[in-house]
Amino acid sequence: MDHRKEELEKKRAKLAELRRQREERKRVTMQTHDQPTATGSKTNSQDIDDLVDSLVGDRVRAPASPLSTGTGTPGMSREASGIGRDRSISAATSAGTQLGSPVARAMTPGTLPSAVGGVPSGSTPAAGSGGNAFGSRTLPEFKTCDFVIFDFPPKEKVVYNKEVQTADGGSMPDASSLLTEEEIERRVRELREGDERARAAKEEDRTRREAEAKARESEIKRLTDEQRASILESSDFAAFVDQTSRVMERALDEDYDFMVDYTLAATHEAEEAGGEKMKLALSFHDDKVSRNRSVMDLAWSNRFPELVVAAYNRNPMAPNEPDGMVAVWNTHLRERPEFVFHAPSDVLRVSFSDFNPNIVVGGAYSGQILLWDTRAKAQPVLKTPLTAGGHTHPIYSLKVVGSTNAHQLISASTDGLVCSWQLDMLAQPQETIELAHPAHLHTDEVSVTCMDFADNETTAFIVGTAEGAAYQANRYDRAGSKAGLNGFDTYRAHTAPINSLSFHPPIASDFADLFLTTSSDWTTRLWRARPAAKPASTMPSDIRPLHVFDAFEDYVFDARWSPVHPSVFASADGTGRLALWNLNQDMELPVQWVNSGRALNKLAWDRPGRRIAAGGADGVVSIYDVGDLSVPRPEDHAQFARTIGELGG
Amino acid sequence: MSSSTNDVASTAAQQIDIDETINRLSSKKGVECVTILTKDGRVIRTTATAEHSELQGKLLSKLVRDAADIVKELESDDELSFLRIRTKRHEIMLALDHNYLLVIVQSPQKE
Repeated sequence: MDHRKEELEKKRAKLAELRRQREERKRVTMQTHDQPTATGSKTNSQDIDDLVDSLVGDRVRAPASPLSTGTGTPGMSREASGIGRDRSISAATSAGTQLGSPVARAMTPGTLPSAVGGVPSGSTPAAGSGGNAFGSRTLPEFKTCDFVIFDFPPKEKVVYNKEVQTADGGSMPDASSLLTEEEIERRVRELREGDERARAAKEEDRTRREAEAKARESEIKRLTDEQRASILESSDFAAFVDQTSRVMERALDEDYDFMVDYTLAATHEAEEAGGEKMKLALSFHDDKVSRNRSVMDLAWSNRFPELVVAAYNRNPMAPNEPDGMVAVWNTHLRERPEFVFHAPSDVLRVSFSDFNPNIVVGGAYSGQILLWDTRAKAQPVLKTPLTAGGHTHPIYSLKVVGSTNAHQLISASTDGLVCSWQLDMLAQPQETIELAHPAHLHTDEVSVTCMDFADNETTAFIVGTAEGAAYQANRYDRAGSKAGLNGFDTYRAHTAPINSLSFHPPIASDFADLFLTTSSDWTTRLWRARPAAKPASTMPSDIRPLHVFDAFEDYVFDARWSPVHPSVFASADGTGRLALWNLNQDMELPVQWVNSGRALNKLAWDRPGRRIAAGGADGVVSIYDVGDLSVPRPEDHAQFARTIGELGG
Repeated sequence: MSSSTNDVASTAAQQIDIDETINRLSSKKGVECVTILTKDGRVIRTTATAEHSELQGKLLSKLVRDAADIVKELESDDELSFLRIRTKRHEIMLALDHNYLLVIVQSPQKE
């Protein structure tokens, strides 16, 4: 209670003090007003006041009065008046612009207390109206005070002039000048026309250029002589001519006119395809390859049924030309070989590699084995060396045995050496077997002239020799038989060197052990091979042939079974006769024959068994069309089995 | 230098080979004329008359260009290799590579 009373007393005292101070201050200010010349600062403010009054007049006083009378405390009013004055000054001086209000407004919230109320935010007219309501008022006091002038640069108002900027500049209409509608239309039209004209001009230009280009194209262009000469000499051009002429020749060879109109009267009849007779279809001869040379070997390609490879021996008239030649002929390209390969000595045997379509393998007179690649040039890409590791005598037999992944080349030369090679490593043979016959007359060497493997056999083979005997040989030691020649079981019947030996093809397993031999004793014999698994006899014994074909009048050089017909084989002899035999029909005489005019060295059936390629001593490879003769009938197999049975095999 | 003489000899041999090839082609059955052109239609060698071959060059080179463009557009990784134009009486065969054209006109007949 006492506390509160004391406090109240204190507060009352304070309030009284404050009031007395206010009164004093008021008296002081009145005194200063009445003394106009008292201080310099006061005179300054007076001058300013007078100046302002004279300039502005009522407008100034109006806001000041409500300020001075409306505010509660004198101190506040003075400040407010001062501020208000300043604000009004600035408001007055910047009547035309809108500068002052943001400035004043910026200052007022911070400086004036809220007690001033709505006056600071009010504009001068509003204040003026408020001020008039109060009537008379005293001249407000001016005092100088410092304040910071913020001068904001005017906010740039970007004005876009949305007009077409014409290229020639022209007369740009000012923003202020108004365009009449007609003028607008006119201008738009002008511009559009201008565009059109430009487009038309461009179009014209383009068509003109096109016409020029066309004219240039249709002009006939000629080569100068130097250009022509340089082209003719370039190897690029030669390669082009070579390649495209080959393509052209194959294309030109097609005989069938596919646009023939059958409703028109036919002037000639079509020839029958096939037929009963064997006839000559093609003959391949090329001066470079065939002249003065003989065909030594022939083989068809398994991959491309139209390709035949032929091996040629030496041309004695031209010692500068390579001794050995191999030519790959295409039955669609009659005039010249597809590929020609060279060799340093006569090539005696050649064949396509079954497992790589680009490789051609050959055996030479020098004992070398040569490998050519159709992608490479004419020289062999791989050769066996002429060292004692390989053959040093002519290679008359070559055969690839095995499967795609594991195949080897077996070669036999006339010194009795049989080697097996890996086709990519011809530096040395994988294995060598010396075929030696101890009971031979002068030497135990066996001169192998031909060799063949029975179907599916890769280790046991039969060799034909120059003495006229054929022997069985093994590559490896087997149960019951040693590696090397089996000298005890001799297939002896021929009295002259055996020229060829060929096993029955794998048509049927029954006949897989039948083989034919031909010899220079004018005969061909049919034999049955002793089974390789049977152990060799310890005493020399002769095996007799099943049958003799002696209807020949000269050396018989080759006899080959047909790959499709079990009882058909063809023979080639020195009279040039290509004879076709069918053992089911006639055991003594050939069923058909064709005389080619010169001695035939070799013959080869193609894979489907419809054509025979025959190579002659004059270097010409002839292709004969066998026709229906070699097409087997279902009963032929059984019949042949009976025939063989009758022969006592 | 022996290499230079070899070059001379080989180019002469080349020329002979080219002539041989052209002769062989033109002596085949039914062939009427053989022409070798550059890609833009200039005549290098021909067995026909000069004007006829020039005309062939001008027209066929344009045809070959258009045909090659067509093939490239239809299958972007394929290229034109051979053109055969079969008319009522003749067949025009064009073999081409990057720089040259070989044109053969033949009248096909049955054997």
